[in-house]
Amino acid sequence: MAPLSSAGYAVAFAARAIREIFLPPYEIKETARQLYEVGWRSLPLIAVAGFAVGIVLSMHTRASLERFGAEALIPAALMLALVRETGPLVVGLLVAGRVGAGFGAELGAMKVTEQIDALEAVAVDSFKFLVVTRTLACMLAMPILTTVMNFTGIIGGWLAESAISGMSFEAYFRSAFSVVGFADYVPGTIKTMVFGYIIAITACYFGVHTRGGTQGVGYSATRSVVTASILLITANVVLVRLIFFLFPETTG
Amino acid sequence: MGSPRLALVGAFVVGGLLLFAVGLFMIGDRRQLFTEHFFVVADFGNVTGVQVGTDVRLSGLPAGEVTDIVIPPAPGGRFQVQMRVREDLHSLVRTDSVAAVLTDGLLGSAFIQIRAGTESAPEVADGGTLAGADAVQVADLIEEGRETFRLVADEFVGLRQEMAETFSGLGETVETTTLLINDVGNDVREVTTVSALFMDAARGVMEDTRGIVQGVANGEGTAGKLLTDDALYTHMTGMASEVEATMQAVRGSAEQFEQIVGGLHGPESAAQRLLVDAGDVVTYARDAMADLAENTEAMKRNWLLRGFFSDRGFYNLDEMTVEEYRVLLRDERYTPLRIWLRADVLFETDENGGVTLADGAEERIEEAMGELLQYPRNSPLVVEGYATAGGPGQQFISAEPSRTTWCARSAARPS
Repeated sequence: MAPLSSAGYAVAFAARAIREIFLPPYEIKETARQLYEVGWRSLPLIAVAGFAVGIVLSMHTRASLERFGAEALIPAALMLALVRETGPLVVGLLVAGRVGAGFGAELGAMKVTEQIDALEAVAVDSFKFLVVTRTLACMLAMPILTTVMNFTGIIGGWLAESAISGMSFEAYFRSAFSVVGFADYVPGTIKTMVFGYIIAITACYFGVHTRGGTQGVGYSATRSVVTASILLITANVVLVRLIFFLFPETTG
Repeated sequence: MGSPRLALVGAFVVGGLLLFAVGLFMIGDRRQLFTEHFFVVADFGNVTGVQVGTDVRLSGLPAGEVTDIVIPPAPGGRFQVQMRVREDLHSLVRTDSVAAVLTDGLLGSAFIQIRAGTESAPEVADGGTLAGADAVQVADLIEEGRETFRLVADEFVGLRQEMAETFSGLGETVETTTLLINDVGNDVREVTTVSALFMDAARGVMEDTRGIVQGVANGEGTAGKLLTDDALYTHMTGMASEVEATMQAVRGSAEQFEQIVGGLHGPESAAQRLLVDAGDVVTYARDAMADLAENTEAMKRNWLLRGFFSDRGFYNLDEMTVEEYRVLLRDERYTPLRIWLRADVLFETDENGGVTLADGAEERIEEAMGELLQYPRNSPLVVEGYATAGGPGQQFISAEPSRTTWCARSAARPS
């Protein structure tokens, strides 16, 4: 019964976070601070990763399409792969690693040092202040980080391509968007808000339920990353199916 | 939280949204959402690969996209495909323009190509209709290829028969040529023999002539005496010389004749070369026919073409079960040769109730079997009945005991 009750408690925890997002008071400053931590400070990681992913994808795409004499489709194929799946998923896993561990450890430390209790003692809603702000920040940062990943990926792909064929950036950029539709671009980007929600809720849940001192803090951080990554990947399956259902043209 | 951090957060959010908007703009620009446009409709019997958002091109230039596909209300109807086309290309789209569903290469996606109309035709109105040309499908091409292959195979079969007839005729010609050359050789031998006899006779005449001339020279006999004068002697000597020259000419002719005959019989003679070449041709032809038969046999067993050959009756008995063979026999296309003989003609029952072969039955069976000789040796001969017990006579009789008539095909190999 214990696992089931824990799962039920986790679901209630997640549902409460959604509800509290829309209820005052709105912790704007704390949300902005978390946005800085989650979004701005993740930018270098995401940009570099996107650049590298773009180069690798370009090389792989060229190797595949070259066999059919379809080198002209390399930018479009890379863009489709990035926008539809690679970009959102890589960003989700990277943020789960960086931010998930950070949230789990930070909240876990606050828990074991009774800082959360102190907040409650001074009449601050710890859930709203600690969990809701982080969840909102993650949900807002994820689509932006994904967009950054997509564009740095295009730049990386162009560099790899121009080194071989000497293609101009404008031609590459236009060719990249030649086959991408709104149904590919918008749902693929917006679904990362769900990823952000999963990462933040998972990390916060393990953080605020940390036990056992500093050892428990490390344990919470690890569990946050692992659980968030698994949940994110499995949720992606459902989300892709949902996108196919809502936007049938993306299946083509 | 200090203001620099707030500014960075603001830059992060605004920059991200701008970047996202750039992506939206690029997609919208590609779909010509930000340009003036007009709508046209084309009807197609087949819209394979076409969906909402499929590219529309005018003479190869990106011109718009498909915005709607209206399904026909009943079978046999045509799909109405609505397209959004750039307004700046409106002047090229005339009422006689034709829209066609094409594919970008063999593996590419489908798109609709609008062919620019003629100058004499008016511009198509907004919402107007264009004629639609259905796409050529790969499946249709395969079907056409299959039909072509069927025709080629028919031609091959015909060609094979013609080649067989041609080489059969060539074989006959070679045989006739051999007989002719043999006849010529015999004639030449006879001529040589006659020439030799003629030579012997000529030598005898020469000997006699020499004797007479000698006698005359010696003045023997009346003639000698008559010819002792120098004038007559001189005349006779000249005549002898002429006879000798004549004989030498005859000898030369005979030798030339022998050389000619020898040339005809020699290993390097033209006749021999002709025979050797003809033999080579027949050998090559036989090899080619064997290769062709082998290739055809391989094609008959190929899983791609097996159905085609089976449809035409080129089935392989090794791979057929008895049931499949019986089903095949019921097919009206195949009429196996069966010769039926009445049982009371073939068999007679003696006083003890034993059944024996009737008088003349053997001739009747052989006569019936003669019908099968018109088929090549490789044609299938199927034993439809057999017996496994008793002596040879009993086996023969009991092969089909329940029938009142007897099938010649089953008797072909009683075992």
